[in-house]
Amino acid sequence: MAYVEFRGLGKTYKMGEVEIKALHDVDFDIEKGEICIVVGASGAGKTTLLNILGGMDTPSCGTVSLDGEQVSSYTSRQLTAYRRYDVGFVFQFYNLIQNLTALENVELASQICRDPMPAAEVLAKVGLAGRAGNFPAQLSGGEQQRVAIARALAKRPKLLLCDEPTGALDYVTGKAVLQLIQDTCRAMGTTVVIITHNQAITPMADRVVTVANGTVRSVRLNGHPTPISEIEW
Amino acid sequence: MLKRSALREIKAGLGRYLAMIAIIALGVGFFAGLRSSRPAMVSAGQRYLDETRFFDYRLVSTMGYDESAPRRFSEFGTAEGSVSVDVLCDLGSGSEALHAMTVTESLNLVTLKAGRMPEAADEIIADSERFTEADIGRTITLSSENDEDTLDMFAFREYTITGLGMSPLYMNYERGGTSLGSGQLEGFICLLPEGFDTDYYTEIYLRLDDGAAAYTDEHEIYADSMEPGVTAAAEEEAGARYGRVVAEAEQEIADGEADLADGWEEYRTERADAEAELAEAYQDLIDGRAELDDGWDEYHDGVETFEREIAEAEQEIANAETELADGYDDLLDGEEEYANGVLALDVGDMQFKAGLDDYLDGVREYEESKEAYESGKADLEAAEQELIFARSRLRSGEADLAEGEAQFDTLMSALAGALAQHGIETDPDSLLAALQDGDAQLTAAVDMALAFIGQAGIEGAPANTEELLGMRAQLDAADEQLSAGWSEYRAGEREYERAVEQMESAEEALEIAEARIESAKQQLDEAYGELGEGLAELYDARYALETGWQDYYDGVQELADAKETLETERADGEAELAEALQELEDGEADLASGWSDYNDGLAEAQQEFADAESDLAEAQRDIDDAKAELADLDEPQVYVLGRDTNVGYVCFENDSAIVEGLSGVFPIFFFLVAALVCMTTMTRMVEDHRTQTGVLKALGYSSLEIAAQYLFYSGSAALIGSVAGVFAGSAAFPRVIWMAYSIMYGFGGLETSVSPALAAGSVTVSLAGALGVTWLTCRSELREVPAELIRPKAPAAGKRVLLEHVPFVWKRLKFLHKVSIRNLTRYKKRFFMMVLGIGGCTALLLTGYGIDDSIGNLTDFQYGEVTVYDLAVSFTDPLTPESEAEFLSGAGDAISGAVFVHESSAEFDAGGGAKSVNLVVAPDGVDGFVNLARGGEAVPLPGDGEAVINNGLARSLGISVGDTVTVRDSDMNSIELTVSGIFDNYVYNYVYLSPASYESAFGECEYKSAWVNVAEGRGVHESSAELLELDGVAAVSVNDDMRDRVDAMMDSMKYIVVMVIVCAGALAFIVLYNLTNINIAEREREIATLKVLGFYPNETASYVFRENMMLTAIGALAGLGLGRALHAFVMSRIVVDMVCFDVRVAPLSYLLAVAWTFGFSIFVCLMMRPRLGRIDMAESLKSIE
Repeated sequence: MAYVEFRGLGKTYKMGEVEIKALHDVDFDIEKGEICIVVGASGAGKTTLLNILGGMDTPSCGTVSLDGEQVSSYTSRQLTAYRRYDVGFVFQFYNLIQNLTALENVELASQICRDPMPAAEVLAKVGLAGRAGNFPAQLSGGEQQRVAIARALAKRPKLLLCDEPTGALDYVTGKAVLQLIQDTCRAMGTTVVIITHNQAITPMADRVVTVANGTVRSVRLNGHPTPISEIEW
Repeated sequence: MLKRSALREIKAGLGRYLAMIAIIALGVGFFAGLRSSRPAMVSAGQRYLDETRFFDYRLVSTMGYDESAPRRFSEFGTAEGSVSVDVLCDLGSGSEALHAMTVTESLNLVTLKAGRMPEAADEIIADSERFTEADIGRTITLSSENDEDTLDMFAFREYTITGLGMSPLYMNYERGGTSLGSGQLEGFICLLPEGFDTDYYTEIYLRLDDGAAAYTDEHEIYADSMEPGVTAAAEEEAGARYGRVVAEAEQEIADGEADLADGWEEYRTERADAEAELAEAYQDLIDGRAELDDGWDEYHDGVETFEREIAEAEQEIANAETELADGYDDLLDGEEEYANGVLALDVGDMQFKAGLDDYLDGVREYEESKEAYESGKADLEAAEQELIFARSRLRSGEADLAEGEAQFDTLMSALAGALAQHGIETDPDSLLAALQDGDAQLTAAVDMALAFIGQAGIEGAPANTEELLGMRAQLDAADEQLSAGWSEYRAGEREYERAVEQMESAEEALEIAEARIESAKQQLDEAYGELGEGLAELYDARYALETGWQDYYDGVQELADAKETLETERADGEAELAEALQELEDGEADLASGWSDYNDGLAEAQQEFADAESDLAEAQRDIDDAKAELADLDEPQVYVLGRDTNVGYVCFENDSAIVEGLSGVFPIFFFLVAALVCMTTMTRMVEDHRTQTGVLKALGYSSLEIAAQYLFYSGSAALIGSVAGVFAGSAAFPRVIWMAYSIMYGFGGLETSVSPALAAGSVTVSLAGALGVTWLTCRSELREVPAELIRPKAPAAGKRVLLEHVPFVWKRLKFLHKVSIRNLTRYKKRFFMMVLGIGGCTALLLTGYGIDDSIGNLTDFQYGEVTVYDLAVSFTDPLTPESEAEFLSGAGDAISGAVFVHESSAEFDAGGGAKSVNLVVAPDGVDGFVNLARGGEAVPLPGDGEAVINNGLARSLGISVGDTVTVRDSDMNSIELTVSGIFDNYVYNYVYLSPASYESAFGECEYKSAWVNVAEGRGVHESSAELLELDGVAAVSVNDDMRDRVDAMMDSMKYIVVMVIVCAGALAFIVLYNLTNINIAEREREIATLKVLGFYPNETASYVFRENMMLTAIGALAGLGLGRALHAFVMSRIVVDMVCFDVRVAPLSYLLAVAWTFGFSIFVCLMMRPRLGRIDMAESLKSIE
């Protein structure tokens, strides 16, 4: 049994009379410790996929399971606990609490979970030891995103979910952030799912899932992932 | 297009829009309501005073005015004379002092509350505060305790209440003081002018013609300007009355002297007449004696005659009685004989009947025997016939048998012959025997012979032996039968003969019986004849007896009649005699009483002569006194009293001023909070629309057009809110306040109206405020260039707070607490608004509860610590040491102590307006009855020329120790005193004087009251009833009852407390709702982030609401301080005459105020909580802002 399994997953939104099929017949697996990139055009359904995997949304049909637990059948309270203990999020727009310092933002996540990493240590790991006392408004976009990654990793999540992590960043910074994700996760053995519309970065992944029109077009395994520093786009 | 967008904005955030309207409505409503309360009250008062034609000047003259005097004042306005006097009235439960006055027709009109106006001179309309509808129809009796002069003013001693009414002279509950009874007027009564028996007015009321309303400066100035003229006219009229009174008095004295001379003349004439009358009476009495003696002689003769006649009549009656008794005995003997005859006849009759019965039985027996004989004779004849028949039958049987025997014998012989032919020698008899023995040989031979015979055809021959033998047997049987028949026949024959014999003897017997019957019949006939004769004899005897009886009864009746006649005659005679005796005795009595009358008359005449002489002497003295009095008569004093001397009028003005005082403070909060709510709401909205504003600007819309959206939003809210607030507030607040005051003021007629100026002002200010705030808010934004606007505004940067520099606290805090604390300082505007709103709420609550505390415990302090005596007793007459001792011994063990004091009411003047106060002159040793103390320290009683007053009075008139004040009684005597002490007292105003000070100004100090403490374990009412029984006690009032009355009055204030608490709640709710609403909208992203990070709903909610709670705590804390100040201020503005508040706030009230504030806060949080659950994580995090 794979670490993450999607089986016949579908999601239908009802907008008044109209039914919109955001996802249908999604079937694929992710193995433990893999970096998986879900790539597709805007509106292909990749964010919906991520929301369901992250416990922020529930599927209309089909199942999702992580490490043998069937996430798709969780109650809303179980989903909250799932988000709390098992999943780390990194968003396009960082979503830091403006009124907490970088360190405090990390601690905010770590204080509510079991066995977190020391916040200062994680912050040092993402290279921000010197900016720990700064408020988000005093940090650059890349730095903020790194704080967000630190906040996600401090929980020692089973799964790190990144939604367009470089979307709001310039090329160099974005590359650095991806590098950080790749390196830390490799080092910590965290399973990572990155969602992006950028085909160029797929070589860094162990598994590339292409999504189009609400379903999985292809799943490609990459025997030798390329370090991000060697990828240019 | 923008207009549509603005409308949509309202629709989308309806809660926010409504909250804004509500806070504006609340602020404006509070302001407008309180503002319009005083005008509404004053105009109700003005209307009342105008409708009842309240006076401007009350002209009092110590001598009164002539009835023509009011005409003199018509040049100033309407004037009407009136009589008024305080009078003690009996109302069934002790006497009390009432103010009696004329029902005036053109001024000070009485308003009828129930019943009808008086129509007859002995009808009155009574004070509706003091009397109830149950009293209509009841009678009020003027007490005999009133002095003569007072009673003389009234045409009657009893008046019937026909209705209840209110007089504008007594606008509020206070009725003032008097020199009568307990010193307190209990109410008023109004009489028709005819109800008074006076020919002058005690005062004249004057209403000026300027037409200006009461309580206006315009009117007061006018009234002041008229005063000198009015005063001059009043003095002139009083002087005229004086002149007339003096002239009248002189005339009266002259008349009196003339009357006196006439009196002497009359006396002398009458005395001579009386003496002549007496002499005549004496002669009549002597004549009467002689007449009476003749009468006695006549009477004694009559008695003698009567007795003799009666004795004769009685003898006659006795004789008749003896005769009758003899006759009666004879009659009884006759009766006895007669009864014996009847008895004998009855016996004869009975015997005759028995004989008759025997005879009839004999006849019946004879008939039966004869019948039996006849039937026996018939039977006998039948038997004879039968016998003859039987004999003939037997004879024929014998013949038949003989023939048969012969035949058989022939046969046998034939057989024997036959046999013998065959050799068998035999004779017929032996043959037969052989055959019967069954000799076979013979049998066979016989058979053969028979057969042969048969063949021969011999008739009747048997066929064989057997038949032969049968034939033999038959013949034997017939023989036997015949012999039996014969024997039977012979027996019958014997019987027959016997019967014949019997018949013969029966015939003989019958003949004998017949002879006997005949002789019996003859005997009976004889007896019957004898009976008839006896009966006839008895009838004759009866008749003779009846006649005898009749004669006897007639005799008895005659005797009775004779006796009756005797009795009647005797009675008549006796009655006649008795009558004569009575007449004689009456004559004696008349004569005796004639003597006594004569003697009395003589004595009386002598007394009368003496009296008349002394009356005449007294008349002489009166004339002398009158002359002296006239010589002493002073010129009259005139008082011109304006409206400001009427307590009700002044109190009402003061009370309405209190309300206006309140209106200055409260609304400020609401306005401030409303402005802040408006500002935050608009700021939030403008920030929300930042991008949209940028786009619009980029599209070429002008700043004004864009701003118009916001201005429309806030302006419309302000307009709706302020208009609603003005109307609702103007309608509701005056009513609530009036409800509280109407307990003191009996008149109604409050009309709430929206003052156009106030409405326009309120609406304009709100509108201007809202628009101004909006303009300020969006101005900076509109100034920016579109490019800048389209880019999202950087979120407000995080900031370190002071607390972070206190590491040992900061480090212990959780992150979310840290965020909350930082957030508090992050949005300063919101912080202040929240603190102000919540603080205002707490302050209002505290003020409300504080007012309740301050007034609630008032009576406890007053009656538990200051006036601690149980009963106040008032006496009918001034007390002397003897009557005091008598009272104390009479009360006995019902009381534990008493102190005797002087109490009256007076005007108290410190130069800044007069107040009605209770004047007390008390001896030393009032402690334990009334405790005079200031802040726990005892205040000594005043020395001569000094006064001790209560704190409320001192405060309201601004007096402190050492000031000089004037005290004036109802007769306008006054004294100046130095205030030597001020003591704590909460209900009523008191001024304590020394006896010497009192007497120096007001004459003799009469002690007519006592303060009494009831003995341990005795009920106050029970003791009160006991004391009321004592001589000289006019009334007893129970302090507990007073306490209840004051409590009831204070209850009116509770409406205001409730009003304040409700408003506070509304304020807190609106502010919290608005801010929380904005807070959540602004933090949507943050909240979504927390949710994504896996915060449970409770944790998320507490993150948001913790801030509210912190703000509530800060606001409540600030509110407590603010509330204390506000409470002190409000209490200083609420000045209720007669009552001094104990300004304080109970610890529980602080707690309650904070608890309510938190309650409102928690309620809002709970209400908003579902909104957090509805925040969609994915949506909120997707975009930037």
